[in-house]
Amino acid sequence: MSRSRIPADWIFEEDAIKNSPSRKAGMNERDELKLKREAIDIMKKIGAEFGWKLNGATGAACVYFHRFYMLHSIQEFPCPTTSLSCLFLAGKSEETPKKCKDIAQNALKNFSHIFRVNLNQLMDDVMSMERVLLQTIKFDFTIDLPYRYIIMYANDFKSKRAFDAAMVSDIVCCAWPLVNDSFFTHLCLAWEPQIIAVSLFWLAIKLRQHEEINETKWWEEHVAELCSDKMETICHEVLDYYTLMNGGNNGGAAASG
Amino acid sequence: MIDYAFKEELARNRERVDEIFHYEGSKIGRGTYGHVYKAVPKGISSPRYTAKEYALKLIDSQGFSMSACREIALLRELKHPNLINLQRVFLSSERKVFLLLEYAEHDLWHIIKFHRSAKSKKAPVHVDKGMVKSVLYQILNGIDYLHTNWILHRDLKPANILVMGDGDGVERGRVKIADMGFARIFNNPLKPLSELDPVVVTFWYRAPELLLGAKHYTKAIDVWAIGCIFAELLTSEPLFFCREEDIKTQSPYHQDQLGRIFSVMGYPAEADWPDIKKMPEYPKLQQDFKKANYMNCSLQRYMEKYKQDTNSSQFKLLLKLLTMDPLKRLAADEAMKDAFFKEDPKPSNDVFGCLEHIPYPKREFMNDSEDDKKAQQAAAQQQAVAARHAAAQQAQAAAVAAQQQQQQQLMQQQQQAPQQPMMQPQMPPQEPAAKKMRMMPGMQPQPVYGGPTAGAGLPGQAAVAPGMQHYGGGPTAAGPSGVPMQQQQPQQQPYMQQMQPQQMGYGGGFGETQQQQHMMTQQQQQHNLMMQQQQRQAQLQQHQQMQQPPAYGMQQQMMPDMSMQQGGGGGMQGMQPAPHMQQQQAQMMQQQQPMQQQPHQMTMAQQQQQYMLAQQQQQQQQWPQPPRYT
Repeated sequence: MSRSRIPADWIFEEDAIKNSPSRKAGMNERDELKLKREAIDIMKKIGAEFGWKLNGATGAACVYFHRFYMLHSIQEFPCPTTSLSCLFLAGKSEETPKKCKDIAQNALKNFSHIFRVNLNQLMDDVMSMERVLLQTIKFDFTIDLPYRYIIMYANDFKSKRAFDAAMVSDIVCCAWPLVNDSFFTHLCLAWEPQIIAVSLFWLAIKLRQHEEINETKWWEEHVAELCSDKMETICHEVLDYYTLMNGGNNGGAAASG
Repeated sequence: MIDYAFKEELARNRERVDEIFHYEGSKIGRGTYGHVYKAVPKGISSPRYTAKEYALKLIDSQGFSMSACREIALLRELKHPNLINLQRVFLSSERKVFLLLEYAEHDLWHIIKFHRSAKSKKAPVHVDKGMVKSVLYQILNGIDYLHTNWILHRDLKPANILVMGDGDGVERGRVKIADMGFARIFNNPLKPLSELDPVVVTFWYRAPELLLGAKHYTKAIDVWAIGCIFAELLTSEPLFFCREEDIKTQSPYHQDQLGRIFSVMGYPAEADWPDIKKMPEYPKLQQDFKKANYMNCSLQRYMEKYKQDTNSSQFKLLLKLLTMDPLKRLAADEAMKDAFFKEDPKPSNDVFGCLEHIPYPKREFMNDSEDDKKAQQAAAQQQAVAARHAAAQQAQAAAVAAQQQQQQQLMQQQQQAPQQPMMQPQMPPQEPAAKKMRMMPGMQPQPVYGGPTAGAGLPGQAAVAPGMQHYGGGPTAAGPSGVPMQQQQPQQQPYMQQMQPQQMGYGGGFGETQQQQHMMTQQQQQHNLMMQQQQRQAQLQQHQQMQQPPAYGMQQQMMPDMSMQQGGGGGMQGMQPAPHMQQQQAQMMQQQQPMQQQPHQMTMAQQQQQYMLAQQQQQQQQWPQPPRYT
């Protein structure tokens, strides 16, 4: 792994994301995404069984996961084990820990087609992998997720702009799953959580047909110099994910479980 | 399946701690949760380690524990000249975690000990005139930084305040606050911090509101501890020295410690602390203490006994830091603006100031067999301190008694003398007590990779928990109150049992009663848990009413089948594993569970209490170990 390329804030250039270690090692974009999505799906499902939230340990695990594969290739470290280690670590960093054994058991129960080892072996793998993970993410556990900004903007709308509370929560209800699904994309590697939040909130406003709100350029007080073109690019990344899943032949990985 | 060991070897790039540092045989401290070594870089092998010496803290747990995680997460983000700086984390192949920290030669526990023994030999140490002021200012500066970043230290005591020694490239005389193992971010607590990990902060430095059962930790609790350390710096004696042998195991309430505080500070007048009535343990306080017994007590009198000028700005600041009412207690940043610091001598970055030679001895190495010996020595020293205190307290108590007699005569009361605090002659210790206290079985759940059932002694509690976690993660802003609902989730309940205090400044740390305290609030928690669940259910119902399957308009076609979001079209249910019905069922079950389990829980608690009592009887006449520096 080439340590020198890690930006301090873990926000990478588009080029770097396109030339991830897995890609350099010969994997094509679609396979890379597919494998990652499978693993993120594992994290979401196991996280949900533990009662973890996406704006808590599960979300942190997803971000660890994405960061990990900016420094290691999938060929080198298969996604499923990495995803379990990410869960294991995120449980601790978000103070909702689960035993390694519980995670491994859960994985074997729900994903027996993926994990074809016995419990002890899997636990050992997860533990070993955790150490690689820790060093790779440089003990940088504190993860900022877009969710809290969504809440912040919503509160701002209600208090500062005196928007109707029902309308605002309607928009939030639309934005929230968009953020959930952004974990299936590389967005968290490319943009700060605020920018993701603004963009998806902007999209949600559009989707709920309140275009007049977006005309006020409400985001300018939160994020400087963000134009709607940029937001559109960001939103398309999430929307593309849905297209890929419905239209793509093998985008079904995440949807199949 | 995969040769991880090999890959890891590669990943680590020969960054093994024992290849880079000499540290074996250089143990400088030991706490309940690990060891601290003085580490010296091995020659030129690694140009990135430029300092001559480092402190290497080995966290004693199997694997990467949650407290290690927390400590590292905090230390990584914090950067301030008065906080100990984390340089690097090492993981060994035996799953050990090492933190590489700045090395500080001195700490206030040793410094105060040195002053105390010098005083008893009538050969006072010559220190810089502004030393106490500089130390205090730097402590406040570091804590203010933590507080402005919404972090509480929660375990301030002399052993955790380090001071840099002499040497090339070392910031001589700079105060460094250490041991963040307990520190917590408090801007957005998921639940009252006191429930997450019950009582922290060594008894002597514990604020009165904590002793009276305060549910929330606040900045003011750190400030009280700073006040205690300030006074201890001035007098060389722990201000609220108290024997800790009859620790109440069921509550944070600690009669002796409160008694000691009142006998120094006086009993708070109602006007001084109006909210004292609202404290959970107030009824007990009223039962156990009589204001009249403390009429003659005041901090002024206490400090005058130690020949301190009580007209000085120094004393006035001390008073403000040791204000009983936490709401009136000075904040760290306000304290830094105090007149005391504007007077000459001004605080300096080097607390040793003009002193050319630092009089304090360097840290000594210890080995495991020495540990016990040193513990005995330490106990002997404590015995001496204790004896002095006993004498002082008797004198004080005598004064109190005299006053009471006077009062009685005046009022011509024929009643029996009211309870006299601190009158019992204190027996000398027979053996170091602290270790035993800490080693009690069942007190100290082993951290097993962050699992929920790690608190093996408390099966009931652990069993409730998984069920508790089924509340979904919807968008919180949509909650009718605007309060993010997740914040009330009792999700973290079971894990408190394994919150392991990491009590080591450099090994001076001492986690005496914390494990015991962990169990104390079990019952309380059971209760709170139920309350929370009820509230939660009410909220959830509202929440569900509000919730409609979001219509995505044109996008709906494009939405995935959202298999991972089975609730309501992937709307607010987010990652809910179970549809509503199941969720409600689960909830109902959860509500019943605690009730069924409570009797069991109580017997557990009772058993533990009985065990504690038995232990205490065995250990009676033993001294508690003050911050220990074996």
